[in-house]
Amino acid sequence: NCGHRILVDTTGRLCRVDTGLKTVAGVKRYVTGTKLCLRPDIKPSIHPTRNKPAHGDRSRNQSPLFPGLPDDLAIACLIRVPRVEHRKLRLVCKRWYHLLTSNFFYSLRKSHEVAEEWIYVIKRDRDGKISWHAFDPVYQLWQPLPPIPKEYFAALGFGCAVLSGCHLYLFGGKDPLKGSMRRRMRMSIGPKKAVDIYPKKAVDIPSRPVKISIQRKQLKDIIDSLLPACTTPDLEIGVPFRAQAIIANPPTYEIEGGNFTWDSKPPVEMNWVDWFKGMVTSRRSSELVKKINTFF
Amino acid sequence: MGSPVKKIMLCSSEKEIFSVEEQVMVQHSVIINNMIEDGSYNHEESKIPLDCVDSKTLKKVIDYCTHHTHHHNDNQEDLEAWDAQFLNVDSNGLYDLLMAANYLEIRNLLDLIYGTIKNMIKGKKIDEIRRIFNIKDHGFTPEEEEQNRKEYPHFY
Repeated sequence: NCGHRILVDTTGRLCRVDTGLKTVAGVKRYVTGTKLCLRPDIKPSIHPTRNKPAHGDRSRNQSPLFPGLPDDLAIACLIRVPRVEHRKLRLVCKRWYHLLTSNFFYSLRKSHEVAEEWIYVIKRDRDGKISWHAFDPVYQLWQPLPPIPKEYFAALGFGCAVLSGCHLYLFGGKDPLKGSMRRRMRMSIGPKKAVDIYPKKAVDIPSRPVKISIQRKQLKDIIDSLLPACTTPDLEIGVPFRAQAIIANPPTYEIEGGNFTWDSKPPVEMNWVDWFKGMVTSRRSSELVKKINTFF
Repeated sequence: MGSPVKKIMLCSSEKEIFSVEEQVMVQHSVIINNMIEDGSYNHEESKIPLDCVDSKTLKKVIDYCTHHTHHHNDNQEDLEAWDAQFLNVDSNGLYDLLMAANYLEIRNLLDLIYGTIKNMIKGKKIDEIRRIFNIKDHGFTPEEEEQNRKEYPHFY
């Protein structure tokens, strides 16, 4: 079965792919459809200075990460632990918590080529409510995310980016009643459901489709292998899983009735129909359909 | 012909001298390789002082490098079994080895120990991790700790 082999191969490659972006400037490189950072009113760094005690204060008086081992070596061990365990590790002690919610930790994982990519799925229930989930393709596990901010429950076509593995950014989008969302949000994907909102700066990032660059072919492969699971009816109950969008780091795709649409216009540069023609439902994707149904 | 195997001298923190085949250390340790290459080691009189490596650890490091030099053609399973046996030490022994491997830049030993410590963490409950790594002060307030335990009982 040719389709099956391709899909398995795809997932194998997926483990090595890392598309985590460290900075908003990094997003600009990939998300060519948005005008991120070209606008003077968006600063590349939007991390708030409040709530952040000085770094020196935090570590100076505290016990080492592993008693008996210098911190640099302890960190070298910790970055190798799979991401699926990180939520738990953050609760081991306060120092691990700070380490595992820092951009430093996730950029180290990236530079040591141990970063793992998760797939972020946004779904819309039959009653129109939106929620999102992260999928770990290596361990085939769904990971909980903090709840979607209230304002976004009914929003259409908002974009989402995961930066450095610990922050989820929301931008763009349209509220059916109130019009364009004029907010940008940052959410921390820690266990504490921390939500940071930036209501003061009105930012209107266009919620247009983004194109896939050639370098991001792997992303296409990921979506290729996941899409059947999101659109084909479940083998047992015959009801399709209704995903509204697949978010795989910056590029965002909306699905409607098995076709990709964004504000009724087809996305640029990709011939989606050909994708679908070539798609074969594999054993792997039917497993995935089951998992999705169990999960929801 | 028949020239004796070149040896180098390593000196532990207890000033104990270990004589090792040069090739064994050059092949594994980036630092020692550099010293030999740039000529800063004099075979007549130099001893390489390793002030932060004690004799017990240094002996183990030499064992590791020697075994992996002479048995690198063994099948993977045998080597892995040997490695597992080699790292069957308490956590302090493991830390000492890690620090020595880091000091001498022995890449494959470093990776081996990183992997071992990773596996000591993987799949464990928080209470087990705290016990294994001797983390006595978790730094959370009693309220935070209670809240975490209530919210994520399966982690503990």
